[in-house]
Amino acid sequence: MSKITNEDFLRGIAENDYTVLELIYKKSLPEVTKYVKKNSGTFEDAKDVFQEGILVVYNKVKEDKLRLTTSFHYYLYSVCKKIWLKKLKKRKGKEVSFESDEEYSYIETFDEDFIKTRKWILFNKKFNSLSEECRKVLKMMFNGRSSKEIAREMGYTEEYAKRKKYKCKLALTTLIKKSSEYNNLKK
Amino acid sequence: MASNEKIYNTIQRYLNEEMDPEELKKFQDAMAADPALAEEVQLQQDMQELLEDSPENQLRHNLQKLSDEAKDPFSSVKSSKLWYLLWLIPVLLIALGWVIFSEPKNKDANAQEAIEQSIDAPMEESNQAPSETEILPEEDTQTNDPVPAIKPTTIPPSTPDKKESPPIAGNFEPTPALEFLIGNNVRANDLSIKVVQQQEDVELASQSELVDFQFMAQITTSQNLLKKTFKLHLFDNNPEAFGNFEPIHSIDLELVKDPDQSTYIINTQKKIPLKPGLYYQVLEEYEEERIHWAGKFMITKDK
Repeated sequence: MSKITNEDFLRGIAENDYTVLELIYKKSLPEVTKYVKKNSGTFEDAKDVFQEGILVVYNKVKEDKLRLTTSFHYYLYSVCKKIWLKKLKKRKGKEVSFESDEEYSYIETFDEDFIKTRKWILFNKKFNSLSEECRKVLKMMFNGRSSKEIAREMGYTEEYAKRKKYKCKLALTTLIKKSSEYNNLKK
Repeated sequence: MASNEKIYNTIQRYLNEEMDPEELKKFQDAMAADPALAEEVQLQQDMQELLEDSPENQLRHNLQKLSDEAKDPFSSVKSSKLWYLLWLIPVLLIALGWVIFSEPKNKDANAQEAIEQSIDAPMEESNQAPSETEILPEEDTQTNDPVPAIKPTTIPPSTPDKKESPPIAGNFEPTPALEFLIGNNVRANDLSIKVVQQQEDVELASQSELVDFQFMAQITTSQNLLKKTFKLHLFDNNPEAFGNFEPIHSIDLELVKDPDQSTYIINTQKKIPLKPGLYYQVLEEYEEERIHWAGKFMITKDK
């Protein structure tokens, strides 16, 4: 039976390989869920923490800062555990001490990362509630396409493409600002 | 702050780094003086960062999809495995009835005996009196029925020369739900398991000794099991632990396929620290949440 190595898991995350991600969810999420639930959390908390944990690994792999000295699953579990402890600390106002381990220094930036994930979820939710036309225009805009390219693609004049970009973005901004979650996420 | 088109265009030029140094300085000062403007800029920046099709955002999409699809393994395990406990209701009722209506000497039988006797409940139609049972060995069972396979023996339960059970120590108290599973494994129709070697009783030389835990089994099936996860869970005799499905130890089993046959071999060995007591092993097909086999062993201390 072929065995998936640590490198396979890291490559799978770096390359957003759905099959590898599925395997990671299948293998590691239950353990993380067990830990979070045993420590005052819910399954939803566990899934949030797990996503964050994988993103932490992703960023470290991208920065070429990750050298695993243990199994991938154990490392991911440790990352998630520390993220959850940090979150608990914030939630309960209690002190949680971490090992002074260089490997886990990213935990200090965890709050920022977590807010980013919440924003990503909120923005996408609101983005998906826009009209199909607006979604197309904004997607092109966010991906760096010029007004001229948008105009050509959508059959607009360049001037109309500029107006459309503004109107669609205003609609999205308004939807986001109206949501109570956005106000909670503001620093 | 009103999000008018002029401000929007200015923010876009700032984010696109299209401002000359003088205009940039002026805009930065304006942001420092106006928190609402700074917030607007932050929002536009976040939208750009989080809604572009960057590799990180594409990863987030996949993670979100997997999270949405994920099911809580513990709440579902608990609920799906509760039926094992539901089996115990009629079993216990019949056991109780039998204790009440049977001969006086049997009234003294301990709870463990009652549970053992009661396993005969489903076969009472063919056996006028409750009897002891013999669980069909795995390889003899060809049933398609996922319910426990139980074969009554001809030995009546109230046989006068029946041996009295030895007194059971506190930490060796059997867990009825797990006792019920032993030998009564629920099989899939096209999957048969033959346990070649299971953990035997161990006599420890000291309290803290590691136990060489061993389990070997052969699974025959037409299914591709390499895509499935099998776990061997170790429970102590705390009934709550099984009720909550919280094993003291779980081992991810590696299945090795025999290339010429539809047979998979499991062979696991692990050193586990165990205190004296009664333990149960439970083999689970993890994704299906299906228990295929259960066994037990005792750890005792050397006198």
